[in-house]
Amino acid sequence: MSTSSRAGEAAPTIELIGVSKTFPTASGERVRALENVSLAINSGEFVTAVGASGCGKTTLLRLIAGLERSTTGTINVNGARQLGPSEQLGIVFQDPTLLPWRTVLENVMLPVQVLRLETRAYRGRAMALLETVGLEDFRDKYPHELSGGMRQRVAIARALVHDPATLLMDEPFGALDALTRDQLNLDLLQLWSATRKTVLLITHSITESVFLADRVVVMSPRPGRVVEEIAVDLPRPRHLELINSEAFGKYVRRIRQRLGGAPGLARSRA
Amino acid sequence: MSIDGQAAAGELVAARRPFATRFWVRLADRLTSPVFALLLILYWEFHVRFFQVEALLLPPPSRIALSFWNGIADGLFLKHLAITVFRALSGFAIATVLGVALGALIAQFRFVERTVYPWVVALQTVPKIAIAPLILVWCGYGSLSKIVTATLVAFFPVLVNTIIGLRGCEQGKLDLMRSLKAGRWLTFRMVALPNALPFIFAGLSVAAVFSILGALVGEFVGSKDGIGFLILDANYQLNIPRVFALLILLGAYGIGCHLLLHLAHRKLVFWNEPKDVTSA
Repeated sequence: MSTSSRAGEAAPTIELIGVSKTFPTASGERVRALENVSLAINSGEFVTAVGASGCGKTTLLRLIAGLERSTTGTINVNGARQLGPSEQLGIVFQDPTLLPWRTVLENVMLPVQVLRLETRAYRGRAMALLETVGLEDFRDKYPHELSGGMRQRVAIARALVHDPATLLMDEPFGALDALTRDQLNLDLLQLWSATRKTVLLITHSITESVFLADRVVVMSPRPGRVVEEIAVDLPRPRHLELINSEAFGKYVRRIRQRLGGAPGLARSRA
Repeated sequence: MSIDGQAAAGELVAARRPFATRFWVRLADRLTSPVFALLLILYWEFHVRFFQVEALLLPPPSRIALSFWNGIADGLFLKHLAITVFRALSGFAIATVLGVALGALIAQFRFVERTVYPWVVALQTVPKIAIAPLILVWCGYGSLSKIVTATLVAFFPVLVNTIIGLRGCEQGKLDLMRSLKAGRWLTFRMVALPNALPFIFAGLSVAAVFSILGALVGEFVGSKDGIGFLILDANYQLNIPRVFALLILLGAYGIGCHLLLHLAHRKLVFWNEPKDVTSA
């Protein structure tokens, strides 16, 4: 990782400079999804991006992942210009997108296979990851035998198996019930503190964004812009009781204020 | 919630019943359909005998059964069934290979889709039965013309279902493969093709039935053996019980095909319950 670092000061792991993205619509108009977004995420940092639906959060993540090309601006990943998908990024999508004909372990091993890495060497790593997400006893089960939360755990293990430096997560827990979501947030923090990956997590839950992050990127919709970046100065390791603390509430209120009357925003989530 | 409640209540009632009652209820459930058929057949027998319906028009079930037994016993039916099944299965196999291969090419390459697909659809709109005499002229009186007809009829459901299945792959799965820099072939092999299997199997189910149809049409147009020949022959001789017996034989074969494919589907595409397909 240090190859691209300049003397002393390391370059940000992810860097966006003046990035805009417009999509053509069916009616021929052009929709601006993102406008002039600049953002830097440093190595080992946990950053969340929060905003209403339609504020371009997902587009932001897809641009960084190299799944879309930006209309203007520059994106650098690990100091190099982002020109397409990279094995240096692990991605967790909104849906687990597991392959139903593969067992849990085979699903986790998919990136190893596709990237033609050495199966034997990474098998142990896959098993260790499954253990970390609490699914070591389910490795020979098929996705349809798992609950929604378990499937998303498998997806997280899969995103990490080839040891990417950065983890991109697109509303990974959005489809889960509140209790499962809390548990997965805790597990994610534990995983993060153990591996110290750089994480960018997209969410529409203000609570989640504060609970997880070192820094929250607040986004406004149509066109998507970065309204404010808020450093979250709360002690780690974090526990669920933190959510009820006054300091936590302050961050939540501030973000909600900045999001203002943004339409379509999930107003509250305990 | 209310559905859960009902289900729970149902279980409760079932649990309260003594075992013997439950046994009889379950048996009655299983038996309604066969008993219905039996009653219908009995009435048929009675009606034909009592009102003295001409056997040429509608033979009684007992005579059909006798004819069936005789046909099986002297080996005639099975000999010709083997011939027709060979033709149908050959057509089915060729249609499967061609249908999946061409379907894959059409789904994967826009160029192939643009050049070939309109013509394939045009071919489909021509009734195959109308081409059967032509195929007889081209391919001769033997098995080949029947195999070609069977192939033509069975090909389209396989092709269309393969295309639908391959196109229906969720964007998320494709994004996942793209994020790992997987090439077109790898994505096809590891994701798109297995993902299309439920659809392909639905197509095969239809194609299996269609292939026997195609073989029969081929035999009707001109043949000296096979079940189609036997049916025509029995018809000319006004041996109507034998015609019915042969229809039963064909029905049994069709059901057998369907069950085999259903089983294969459940074994191979275990993550997806087979859907019943009514037509192509």
